[in-house]
Amino acid sequence: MKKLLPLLATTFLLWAGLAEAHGPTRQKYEESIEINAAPDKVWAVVGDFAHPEKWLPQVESTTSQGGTEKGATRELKLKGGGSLKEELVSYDAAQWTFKYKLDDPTDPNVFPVNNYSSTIKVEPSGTGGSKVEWKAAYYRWFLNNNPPPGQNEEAANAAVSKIYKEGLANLKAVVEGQK
Amino acid sequence: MFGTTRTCLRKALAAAIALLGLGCGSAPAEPFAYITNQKANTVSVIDTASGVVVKTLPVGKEPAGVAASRDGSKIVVTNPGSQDITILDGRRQEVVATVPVGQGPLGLAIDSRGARAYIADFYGHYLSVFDLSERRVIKQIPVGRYPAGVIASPDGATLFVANREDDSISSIDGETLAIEKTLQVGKHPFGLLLEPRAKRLYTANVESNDVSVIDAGTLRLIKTIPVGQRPYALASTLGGKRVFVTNQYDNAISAIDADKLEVIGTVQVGEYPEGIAAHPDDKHVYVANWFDNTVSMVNAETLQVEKTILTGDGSRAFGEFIPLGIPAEPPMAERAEVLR
Repeated sequence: MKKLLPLLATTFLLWAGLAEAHGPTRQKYEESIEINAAPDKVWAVVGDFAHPEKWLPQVESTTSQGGTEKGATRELKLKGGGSLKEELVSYDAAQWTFKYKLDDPTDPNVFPVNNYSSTIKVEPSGTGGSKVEWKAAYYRWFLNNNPPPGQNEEAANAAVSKIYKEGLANLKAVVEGQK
Repeated sequence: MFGTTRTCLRKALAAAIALLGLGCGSAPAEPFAYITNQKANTVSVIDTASGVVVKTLPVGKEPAGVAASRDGSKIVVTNPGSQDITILDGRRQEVVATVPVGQGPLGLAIDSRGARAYIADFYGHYLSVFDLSERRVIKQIPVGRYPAGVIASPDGATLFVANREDDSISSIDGETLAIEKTLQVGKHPFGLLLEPRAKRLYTANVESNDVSVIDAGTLRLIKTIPVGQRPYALASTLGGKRVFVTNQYDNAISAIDADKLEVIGTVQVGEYPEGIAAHPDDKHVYVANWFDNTVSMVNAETLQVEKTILTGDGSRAFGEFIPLGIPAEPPMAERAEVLR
Protein backbone atom coordinates (compact mmCIF):
# COMPACT_ATOMS: atom_id res chain seq x y z
CA MET A 1 0.00 0.00 0.00
CA LYS A 2 2.84 2.29 0.86
CA LYS A 3 4.24 1.72 -2.58
CA LEU A 4 0.89 2.08 -4.26
CA LEU A 5 0.16 5.58 -3.04
CA PRO A 6 3.06 7.34 -4.74
CA LEU A 7 2.27 5.36 -7.86
CA LEU A 8 -1.33 6.50 -7.77
CA ALA A 9 -0.23 10.06 -7.18
CA THR A 10 2.16 9.89 -10.11
CA THR A 11 -0.53 8.43 -12.33
CA PHE A 12 -2.89 11.19 -11.34
CA LEU A 13 -0.29 13.87 -11.98
CA LEU A 14 0.48 12.37 -15.33
CA TRP A 15 -3.20 12.32 -16.21
CA ALA A 16 -3.70 15.88 -14.97
CA GLY A 17 -0.69 16.96 -16.98
CA LEU A 18 -1.98 15.29 -20.11
CA ALA A 19 -5.37 16.89 -19.70
CA GLU A 20 -3.74 20.25 -20.30
CA ALA A 21 -0.97 18.95 -22.49
CA HIS A 22 -1.82 20.90 -25.54
CA GLY A 23 -0.49 24.03 -27.07
CA PRO A 24 -1.93 27.48 -26.70
CA THR A 25 -4.83 28.69 -28.80
CA ARG A 26 -5.64 32.30 -29.43
CA GLN A 27 -7.97 33.79 -26.87
CA LYS A 28 -10.61 36.38 -27.55
CA TYR A 29 -11.93 38.91 -25.06
CA GLU A 30 -14.57 41.61 -25.49
CA GLU A 31 -15.88 44.15 -23.04
CA SER A 32 -18.11 47.17 -23.62
CA ILE A 33 -19.69 49.96 -21.62
CA GLU A 34 -22.35 52.63 -22.17
CA ILE A 35 -21.27 56.17 -21.30
CA ASN A 36 -23.57 59.16 -20.89
CA ALA A 37 -21.47 61.50 -23.02
CA ALA A 38 -21.11 62.27 -26.73
CA PRO A 39 -18.63 60.08 -28.66
CA ASP A 40 -16.21 62.98 -29.30
CA LYS A 41 -16.02 63.65 -25.56
CA VAL A 42 -15.26 59.98 -24.90
CA TRP A 43 -12.78 59.86 -27.78
CA ALA A 44 -10.91 62.88 -26.39
CA VAL A 45 -10.02 60.73 -23.39
CA VAL A 46 -9.78 57.17 -24.65
CA GLY A 47 -8.37 58.12 -28.06
CA ASP A 48 -5.31 59.81 -26.55
CA PHE A 49 -2.82 57.05 -27.32
CA ALA A 50 -0.01 58.89 -25.56
CA HIS A 51 -1.85 59.19 -22.25
CA PRO A 52 -3.75 56.06 -21.22
CA GLU A 53 -3.22 57.09 -17.57
CA LYS A 54 -6.10 59.53 -18.17
CA TRP A 55 -8.48 56.62 -17.84
CA LEU A 56 -6.63 53.37 -17.16
CA PRO A 57 -6.41 53.09 -13.36
CA GLN A 58 -3.49 50.61 -13.47
CA VAL A 59 -1.23 53.07 -15.32
CA GLU A 60 0.92 55.53 -13.40
CA SER A 61 2.57 57.34 -16.30
CA THR A 62 3.36 56.94 -19.98
CA THR A 63 6.17 57.92 -22.29
CA SER A 64 5.38 57.86 -25.99
CA GLN A 65 6.82 58.55 -29.39
CA GLY A 66 5.27 59.08 -32.82
CA GLY A 67 1.94 60.66 -31.88
CA THR A 68 -0.91 58.81 -33.53
CA GLU A 69 0.98 57.65 -36.60
CA LYS A 70 0.99 53.94 -37.38
CA GLY A 71 4.05 52.52 -35.64
CA ALA A 72 3.92 55.04 -32.76
CA THR A 73 5.02 53.54 -29.48
CA ARG A 74 4.22 54.03 -25.82
CA GLU A 75 5.59 52.61 -22.60
CA LEU A 76 3.17 52.29 -19.74
CA LYS A 77 4.62 52.43 -16.24
CA LEU A 78 2.26 50.49 -14.02
CA LYS A 79 1.25 51.33 -10.47
CA GLY A 80 1.73 47.73 -9.40
CA GLY A 81 5.29 47.73 -10.73
CA GLY A 82 6.64 46.79 -14.14
CA SER A 83 5.91 48.28 -17.52
CA LEU A 84 4.38 47.42 -20.88
CA LYS A 85 5.56 48.52 -24.32
CA GLU A 86 2.94 48.96 -27.00
CA GLU A 87 2.84 49.92 -30.66
CA LEU A 88 0.08 51.57 -32.66
CA VAL A 89 -1.18 49.35 -35.49
CA SER A 90 -3.83 51.71 -36.88
CA TYR A 91 -5.51 54.93 -35.81
CA ASP A 92 -8.71 56.38 -37.27
CA ALA A 93 -9.93 59.50 -35.47
CA ALA A 94 -12.85 59.91 -37.90
CA GLN A 95 -14.16 56.48 -36.95
CA TRP A 96 -13.15 56.86 -33.29
CA THR A 97 -11.09 53.68 -33.29
CA PHE A 98 -7.51 52.49 -32.93
CA LYS A 99 -5.66 49.22 -32.77
CA TYR A 100 -2.40 48.51 -30.97
CA LYS A 101 -0.20 45.59 -30.06
CA LEU A 102 2.02 44.67 -27.16
CA ASP A 103 5.74 44.03 -27.58
CA ASP A 104 6.76 40.50 -26.61
CA PRO A 105 7.92 39.19 -24.30
CA THR A 106 6.12 40.70 -21.35
CA ASP A 107 6.93 39.94 -17.73
CA PRO A 108 4.47 37.13 -16.92
CA ASN A 109 4.05 38.55 -13.42
CA VAL A 110 2.92 41.86 -14.90
CA PHE A 111 0.72 40.73 -17.81
CA PRO A 112 0.83 36.99 -18.65
CA VAL A 113 -0.03 37.20 -22.36
CA ASN A 114 1.69 36.73 -25.68
CA ASN A 115 1.04 38.08 -29.13
CA TYR A 116 -1.51 40.49 -27.70
CA SER A 117 -3.40 42.95 -29.91
CA SER A 118 -6.28 45.16 -28.98
CA THR A 119 -8.89 47.43 -30.57
CA ILE A 120 -10.83 50.25 -28.94
CA LYS A 121 -13.86 51.71 -30.68
CA VAL A 122 -16.30 54.44 -29.66
CA GLU A 123 -19.77 54.43 -31.19
CA PRO A 124 -22.80 56.68 -30.82
CA SER A 125 -25.49 54.98 -28.79
CA GLY A 126 -29.18 55.83 -28.71
CA THR A 127 -29.87 59.09 -26.99
CA GLY A 128 -26.70 61.12 -27.46
CA GLY A 129 -24.53 58.75 -25.44
CA SER A 130 -21.72 56.46 -26.44
CA LYS A 131 -20.81 52.84 -26.39
CA VAL A 132 -17.15 51.90 -26.00
CA GLU A 133 -16.07 48.50 -27.23
CA TRP A 134 -12.69 47.05 -26.25
CA LYS A 135 -11.53 43.83 -27.85
CA ALA A 136 -8.41 41.73 -27.43
CA ALA A 137 -6.79 38.79 -29.17
CA TYR A 138 -3.86 37.07 -27.48
CA TYR A 139 -2.25 33.83 -26.46
CA ARG A 140 -1.37 32.68 -22.99
CA TRP A 141 2.16 33.61 -21.89
CA PHE A 142 3.56 30.06 -22.04
CA LEU A 143 3.76 28.98 -25.65
CA ASN A 144 4.70 25.32 -25.21
CA ASN A 145 2.79 22.39 -23.80
CA ASN A 146 2.10 22.14 -20.04
CA PRO A 147 2.04 25.76 -18.88
CA PRO A 148 2.87 26.42 -15.22
CA PRO A 149 0.19 28.13 -13.10
CA GLY A 150 0.09 31.84 -13.80
CA GLN A 151 1.10 31.33 -17.42
CA ASN A 152 -1.89 29.37 -18.70
CA GLU A 153 -5.05 30.48 -20.48
CA GLU A 154 -6.94 31.03 -17.22
CA ALA A 155 -4.26 33.43 -15.97
CA ALA A 156 -4.17 35.32 -19.25
CA ASN A 157 -7.96 35.64 -19.42
CA ALA A 158 -8.20 36.75 -15.79
CA ALA A 159 -5.54 39.44 -16.32
CA VAL A 160 -7.17 40.81 -19.46
CA SER A 161 -10.65 40.71 -17.95
CA LYS A 162 -9.55 42.64 -14.85
CA ILE A 163 -7.86 45.40 -16.84
CA TYR A 164 -10.76 45.75 -19.28
CA LYS A 165 -13.50 45.78 -16.66
CA GLU A 166 -11.70 48.21 -14.35
CA GLY A 167 -10.51 50.32 -17.26
CA LEU A 168 -13.90 50.81 -18.86
CA ALA A 169 -15.61 51.45 -15.52
CA ASN A 170 -13.03 54.13 -14.77
CA LEU A 171 -13.33 55.60 -18.27
CA LYS A 172 -17.05 56.02 -17.67
CA ALA A 173 -16.44 57.66 -14.30
CA VAL A 174 -13.79 60.01 -15.72
CA VAL A 175 -15.81 61.10 -18.78
CA GLU A 176 -19.13 61.45 -16.95
CA GLY A 177 -17.38 63.32 -14.13
CA GLN A 178 -16.18 65.96 -16.61
CA LYS A 179 -19.72 67.25 -17.21
CA MET B 1 -3.33 21.07 -63.56
CA PHE B 2 -5.40 23.85 -62.13
CA GLY B 3 -5.61 26.03 -65.22
CA THR B 4 -7.02 23.32 -67.41
CA THR B 5 -9.51 22.25 -64.79
CA ARG B 6 -10.74 25.71 -64.14
CA THR B 7 -11.20 26.68 -67.76
CA CYS B 8 -13.06 23.46 -68.17
CA LEU B 9 -15.20 24.11 -65.11
CA ARG B 10 -15.99 27.60 -66.25
CA LYS B 11 -17.20 26.30 -69.58
CA ALA B 12 -19.28 23.69 -67.86
CA LEU B 13 -20.88 26.27 -65.63
CA ALA B 14 -21.50 28.60 -68.51
CA ALA B 15 -23.37 25.83 -70.22
CA ALA B 16 -25.95 26.43 -67.48
CA ILE B 17 -27.15 22.84 -67.43
CA ALA B 18 -23.88 21.61 -66.08
CA LEU B 19 -24.54 17.92 -66.39
CA LEU B 20 -21.86 16.04 -64.56
CA GLY B 21 -18.85 14.97 -66.45
CA LEU B 22 -17.99 16.89 -69.61
CA GLY B 23 -14.44 15.77 -69.02
CA CYS B 24 -14.18 17.88 -65.94
CA GLY B 25 -14.48 15.13 -63.42
CA SER B 26 -17.34 15.01 -60.98
CA ALA B 27 -16.93 18.30 -59.17
CA PRO B 28 -20.20 19.52 -57.72
CA ALA B 29 -21.14 22.77 -59.45
CA GLU B 30 -21.68 24.51 -56.13
CA PRO B 31 -19.62 22.86 -53.45
CA PHE B 32 -19.75 23.31 -49.71
CA ALA B 33 -17.31 25.38 -47.67
CA TYR B 34 -16.13 23.92 -44.34
CA ILE B 35 -15.29 26.50 -41.69
CA THR B 36 -13.56 25.46 -38.46
CA ASN B 37 -14.80 27.47 -35.49
CA GLN B 38 -11.97 27.26 -33.02
CA LYS B 39 -13.77 28.51 -29.95
CA ALA B 40 -17.02 26.66 -30.61
CA ASN B 41 -15.41 23.27 -31.40
CA THR B 42 -17.56 23.03 -34.52
CA VAL B 43 -17.43 23.16 -38.31
CA SER B 44 -19.96 25.34 -40.16
CA VAL B 45 -20.93 23.79 -43.49
CA ILE B 46 -21.81 26.54 -45.97
CA ASP B 47 -23.73 25.72 -49.13
CA THR B 48 -21.93 28.08 -51.50
CA ALA B 49 -24.94 28.07 -53.88
CA SER B 50 -27.24 29.67 -51.32
CA GLY B 51 -24.57 31.20 -49.09
CA VAL B 52 -26.13 29.82 -45.92
CA VAL B 53 -24.84 27.52 -43.21
CA VAL B 54 -26.73 24.29 -43.78
CA LYS B 55 -25.19 22.32 -40.95
CA THR B 56 -23.01 22.81 -37.88
CA LEU B 57 -21.01 19.73 -36.98
CA PRO B 58 -19.38 19.10 -33.58
CA VAL B 59 -15.70 18.18 -34.00
CA GLY B 60 -12.68 17.90 -31.66
CA LYS B 61 -11.24 20.64 -29.48
CA GLU B 62 -10.09 23.95 -30.92
CA PRO B 63 -10.39 22.94 -34.58
CA ALA B 64 -8.01 24.97 -36.73
CA GLY B 65 -6.90 23.35 -39.98
CA VAL B 66 -9.18 21.98 -42.66
CA ALA B 67 -8.75 20.44 -46.10
CA ALA B 68 -11.25 19.08 -48.59
CA SER B 69 -10.43 16.33 -51.07
CA ARG B 70 -10.77 17.58 -54.62
CA ASP B 71 -13.88 15.50 -55.28
CA GLY B 72 -15.47 16.83 -52.11
CA SER B 73 -16.06 13.39 -50.62
CA LYS B 74 -13.65 13.70 -47.68
CA ILE B 75 -13.01 16.61 -45.40
CA VAL B 76 -10.30 16.47 -42.73
CA VAL B 77 -10.25 18.84 -39.75
CA THR B 78 -7.33 19.16 -37.32
CA ASN B 79 -8.10 19.61 -33.63
CA PRO B 80 -4.92 20.79 -31.86
CA GLY B 81 -6.81 21.03 -28.54
CA SER B 82 -7.69 17.33 -28.47
CA GLN B 83 -4.68 16.23 -30.53
CA ASP B 84 -6.78 14.45 -33.11
CA ILE B 85 -8.38 14.89 -36.49
CA THR B 86 -12.02 14.65 -37.47
CA ILE B 87 -12.93 13.12 -40.83
CA LEU B 88 -16.18 14.33 -42.39
CA ASP B 89 -18.21 12.76 -45.16
CA GLY B 90 -18.54 15.56 -47.68
CA ARG B 91 -21.57 14.01 -49.38
CA ARG B 92 -23.73 13.54 -46.32
CA GLN B 93 -22.13 16.29 -44.19
CA GLU B 94 -21.55 13.98 -41.24
CA VAL B 95 -18.67 13.14 -38.93
CA VAL B 96 -17.39 9.68 -39.81
CA ALA B 97 -14.29 9.30 -37.63
CA THR B 98 -12.08 10.91 -35.01
CA VAL B 99 -8.49 9.70 -34.96
CA PRO B 100 -5.65 10.74 -32.58
CA VAL B 101 -2.80 12.36 -34.56
CA GLY B 102 0.38 13.72 -33.00
CA GLN B 103 0.83 16.43 -30.39
CA GLY B 104 -0.52 19.46 -32.20
CA PRO B 105 -2.03 18.80 -35.62
CA LEU B 106 -2.45 22.15 -37.40
CA GLY B 107 -2.05 22.84 -41.12
CA LEU B 108 -2.79 20.07 -43.58
CA ALA B 109 -3.21 19.18 -47.22
CA ILE B 110 -4.95 16.29 -48.96
CA ASP B 111 -3.36 14.91 -52.11
CA SER B 112 -5.31 15.30 -55.34
CA ARG B 113 -6.39 11.63 -55.35
CA GLY B 114 -7.81 11.93 -51.86
CA ALA B 115 -5.63 9.07 -50.62
CA ARG B 116 -3.52 10.82 -48.01
CA ALA B 117 -3.61 13.78 -45.70
CA TYR B 118 -0.31 15.47 -44.82
CA ILE B 119 -0.62 17.04 -41.39
CA ALA B 120 1.88 19.48 -39.89
CA ASP B 121 2.42 18.91 -36.19
CA PHE B 122 3.07 22.28 -34.60
CA TYR B 123 4.45 20.89 -31.34
CA GLY B 124 5.96 17.65 -32.59
CA HIS B 125 7.87 19.40 -35.40
CA TYR B 126 7.02 16.73 -37.96
CA LEU B 127 4.64 16.06 -40.81
CA SER B 128 2.24 13.17 -40.21
CA VAL B 129 1.45 11.18 -43.35
CA PHE B 130 -2.09 9.94 -42.84
CA ASP B 131 -3.62 7.20 -44.97
CA LEU B 132 -7.26 8.17 -45.46
CA SER B 133 -8.57 4.70 -46.27
CA GLU B 134 -6.74 2.92 -43.44
CA ARG B 135 -7.27 5.94 -41.20
CA ARG B 136 -3.86 5.79 -39.59
CA VAL B 137 -0.55 7.63 -39.59
CA ILE B 138 1.84 5.71 -41.82
CA LYS B 139 4.86 7.93 -41.34
CA GLN B 140 6.18 10.94 -39.44
CA ILE B 141 8.62 13.12 -41.36
CA PRO B 142 10.74 15.39 -39.12
CA VAL B 143 10.61 18.96 -40.49
CA GLY B 144 11.54 22.42 -39.17
CA ARG B 145 10.35 23.95 -35.92
CA TYR B 146 6.66 24.73 -35.45
CA PRO B 147 5.44 23.69 -38.90
CA ALA B 148 2.18 25.38 -39.91
CA GLY B 149 0.97 25.41 -43.53
CA VAL B 150 1.21 22.40 -45.85
CA ILE B 151 0.47 22.10 -49.55
CA ALA B 152 0.64 19.22 -52.03
CA SER B 153 1.35 19.71 -55.73
CA PRO B 154 -1.63 18.67 -57.90
CA ASP B 155 0.34 15.75 -59.34
CA GLY B 156 1.30 14.59 -55.86
CA ALA B 157 5.00 14.67 -56.69
CA THR B 158 5.97 17.29 -54.13
CA LEU B 159 4.80 18.49 -50.72
CA PHE B 160 5.70 21.80 -49.18
CA VAL B 161 5.67 22.76 -45.52
CA ALA B 162 6.16 26.12 -43.81
CA ASN B 163 8.52 25.88 -40.80
CA ARG B 164 7.26 28.89 -38.89
CA GLU B 165 9.93 29.17 -36.20
CA ASP B 166 12.77 28.47 -38.64
CA ASP B 167 11.58 31.14 -41.11
CA SER B 168 11.85 28.53 -43.84
CA ILE B 169 9.95 26.21 -46.13
CA SER B 170 10.87 22.67 -47.10
CA SER B 171 9.98 20.63 -50.15
CA ILE B 172 9.38 16.91 -49.66
CA ASP B 173 9.35 14.19 -52.30
CA GLY B 174 5.79 12.81 -52.41
CA GLU B 175 6.99 9.29 -53.16
CA THR B 176 10.06 8.79 -51.00
CA LEU B 177 8.75 11.21 -48.34
CA ALA B 178 12.27 12.59 -47.93
CA ILE B 179 13.04 16.29 -47.58
CA GLU B 180 14.49 17.62 -50.81
CA LYS B 181 15.28 21.26 -50.20
CA THR B 182 14.85 23.96 -47.58
CA LEU B 183 14.73 27.69 -48.28
CA GLN B 184 14.82 30.67 -45.93
CA VAL B 185 11.85 32.99 -46.50
CA GLY B 186 10.35 35.90 -44.52
CA LYS B 187 9.77 35.86 -40.76
CA HIS B 188 7.33 33.24 -39.48
CA PRO B 189 5.86 31.79 -42.67
CA PHE B 190 2.41 30.38 -41.92
CA GLY B 191 0.06 29.85 -44.87
CA LEU B 192 1.25 28.41 -48.19
CA LEU B 193 -0.13 28.59 -51.71
CA LEU B 194 0.93 26.70 -54.79
CA GLU B 195 -0.06 28.54 -57.94
CA PRO B 196 0.38 25.85 -60.58
CA ARG B 197 -0.04 28.07 -63.66
CA ALA B 198 3.29 29.73 -63.00
CA LYS B 199 4.53 26.90 -60.75
CA ARG B 200 5.13 29.30 -57.95
CA LEU B 201 4.90 28.86 -54.25
CA TYR B 202 3.76 31.72 -52.03
CA THR B 203 4.28 32.02 -48.26
CA ALA B 204 2.48 34.44 -45.93
CA ASN B 205 5.10 35.70 -43.46
CA VAL B 206 3.29 36.76 -40.28
CA GLU B 207 6.15 38.63 -38.59
CA SER B 208 7.74 40.40 -41.56
CA ASN B 209 4.43 41.53 -43.10
CA ASP B 210 5.29 40.20 -46.54
CA VAL B 211 4.77 37.37 -48.98
CA SER B 212 7.66 35.34 -50.42
CA VAL B 213 7.23 34.19 -54.03
CA ILE B 214 9.27 31.10 -54.85
CA ASP B 215 9.95 29.04 -57.94
CA ALA B 216 8.32 25.77 -56.87
CA GLY B 217 10.61 23.66 -59.03
CA THR B 218 14.01 25.05 -58.07
CA LEU B 219 12.87 26.39 -54.69
CA ARG B 220 14.55 29.73 -55.42
CA LEU B 221 13.19 33.00 -54.12
CA ILE B 222 11.74 35.15 -56.93
CA LYS B 223 10.43 38.13 -55.00
CA THR B 224 9.31 39.37 -51.59
CA ILE B 225 6.11 41.44 -51.74
CA PRO B 226 5.21 43.75 -48.84
CA VAL B 227 1.55 43.25 -47.89
CA GLY B 228 -0.59 44.23 -44.88
CA GLN B 229 -0.01 43.59 -41.19
CA ARG B 230 0.18 39.97 -40.00
CA PRO B 231 -0.35 38.12 -43.26
CA TYR B 232 -1.70 34.66 -42.50
CA ALA B 233 -3.02 32.61 -45.43
CA LEU B 234 -3.26 32.69 -49.24
CA ALA B 235 -5.49 31.67 -52.15
CA SER B 236 -5.35 32.15 -55.91
CA THR B 237 -8.10 32.62 -58.46
CA LEU B 238 -8.87 34.05 -61.94
CA GLY B 239 -6.91 31.24 -63.55
CA GLY B 240 -4.03 31.84 -61.19
CA LYS B 241 -3.66 35.47 -62.23
CA ARG B 242 -4.65 36.88 -58.88
CA VAL B 243 -3.42 35.88 -55.44
CA PHE B 244 -5.01 36.98 -52.18
CA VAL B 245 -3.54 37.09 -48.70
CA THR B 246 -5.37 37.70 -45.42
CA ASN B 247 -3.91 40.39 -43.15
CA GLN B 248 -5.03 39.72 -39.58
CA TYR B 249 -4.32 43.17 -38.14
CA ASP B 250 -5.75 45.15 -41.05
CA ASN B 251 -9.14 43.40 -41.20
CA ALA B 252 -8.43 43.20 -44.90
CA ILE B 253 -7.09 41.02 -47.68
CA SER B 254 -4.47 42.16 -50.19
CA ALA B 255 -4.93 41.33 -53.89
CA ILE B 256 -1.69 40.53 -55.73
CA ASP B 257 -1.27 40.55 -59.50
CA ALA B 258 0.47 37.21 -60.06
CA ASP B 259 2.21 38.41 -63.23
CA LYS B 260 3.53 41.73 -61.95
CA LEU B 261 3.92 40.37 -58.41
CA GLU B 262 2.56 43.58 -56.92
CA VAL B 263 -0.31 44.39 -54.62
CA ILE B 264 -3.06 45.91 -56.77
CA GLY B 265 -5.72 46.44 -54.13
CA THR B 266 -7.07 45.66 -50.69
CA VAL B 267 -10.52 44.55 -49.62
CA GLN B 268 -11.88 45.26 -46.15
CA VAL B 269 -13.42 42.09 -44.76
CA GLY B 270 -14.32 41.18 -41.17
CA GLU B 271 -12.15 41.49 -38.10
CA TYR B 272 -9.06 39.25 -37.83
CA PRO B 273 -9.27 37.45 -41.19
CA GLU B 274 -7.49 34.10 -41.21
CA GLY B 275 -8.31 31.22 -43.56
CA ILE B 276 -8.96 31.94 -47.22
CA ALA B 277 -9.96 29.58 -50.04
CA ALA B 278 -10.82 29.89 -53.71
CA HIS B 279 -14.18 28.77 -55.06
CA PRO B 280 -14.07 26.49 -58.13
CA ASP B 281 -16.09 29.10 -60.07
CA ASP B 282 -12.65 30.76 -60.28
CA LYS B 283 -14.20 34.15 -59.48
CA HIS B 284 -14.59 34.22 -55.72
CA VAL B 285 -12.56 33.76 -52.59
CA TYR B 286 -14.03 33.03 -49.17
CA VAL B 287 -12.42 34.49 -46.05
CA ALA B 288 -12.94 33.35 -42.44
CA ASN B 289 -13.00 36.27 -39.98
CA TRP B 290 -11.84 34.96 -36.61
CA PHE B 291 -13.00 37.81 -34.38
CA ASP B 292 -16.29 38.48 -36.16
CA ASN B 293 -17.35 34.81 -36.47
CA THR B 294 -18.20 35.34 -40.11
CA VAL B 295 -17.13 34.41 -43.62
CA SER B 296 -16.79 37.05 -46.35
CA MET B 297 -17.46 36.07 -49.95
CA VAL B 298 -15.26 38.31 -52.07
CA ASN B 299 -15.50 38.84 -55.82
CA ALA B 300 -11.93 38.43 -57.07
CA GLU B 301 -12.43 40.67 -60.11
CA THR B 302 -14.34 43.60 -58.63
CA LEU B 303 -12.73 43.27 -55.18
CA GLN B 304 -16.12 43.71 -53.54
CA VAL B 305 -17.50 41.75 -50.60
CA GLU B 306 -20.65 40.20 -52.03
CA LYS B 307 -21.87 38.40 -48.95
CA THR B 308 -21.09 38.05 -45.26
CA ILE B 309 -22.15 34.77 -43.67
CA LEU B 310 -22.49 34.26 -39.92
CA THR B 311 -20.61 31.10 -38.86
CA GLY B 312 -19.39 30.13 -35.36
CA ASP B 313 -17.11 31.48 -32.63
CA GLY B 314 -13.52 31.87 -33.76
CA SER B 315 -13.81 31.03 -37.48
CA ARG B 316 -10.32 30.06 -38.55
CA ALA B 317 -10.56 27.67 -41.53
CA PHE B 318 -6.82 27.35 -42.13
CA GLY B 319 -6.48 25.39 -45.39
CA GLU B 320 -8.25 24.64 -48.65
CA PHE B 321 -11.73 24.49 -47.17
CA ILE B 322 -13.68 24.31 -50.45
CA PRO B 323 -13.33 21.27 -52.75
CA LEU B 324 -11.84 22.45 -56.04
CA GLY B 325 -12.97 19.59 -58.28
CA ILE B 326 -11.04 16.70 -59.76
CA PRO B 327 -8.37 17.71 -62.24
CA ALA B 328 -8.84 16.26 -65.71
CA GLU B 329 -6.15 13.72 -66.57
CA PRO B 330 -3.40 15.71 -68.22
CA PRO B 331 -2.21 14.42 -71.59
CA MET B 332 1.07 12.49 -71.45
CA ALA B 333 3.13 15.36 -72.83
CA GLU B 334 1.84 17.69 -70.17
CA ARG B 335 2.23 15.06 -67.53
CA ALA B 336 5.94 14.90 -68.12
CA GLU B 337 6.09 18.61 -67.62
CA VAL B 338 4.15 18.79 -64.37
CA LEU B 339 5.72 20.31 -61.36
CA ARG B 340 8.77 18.55 -60.14
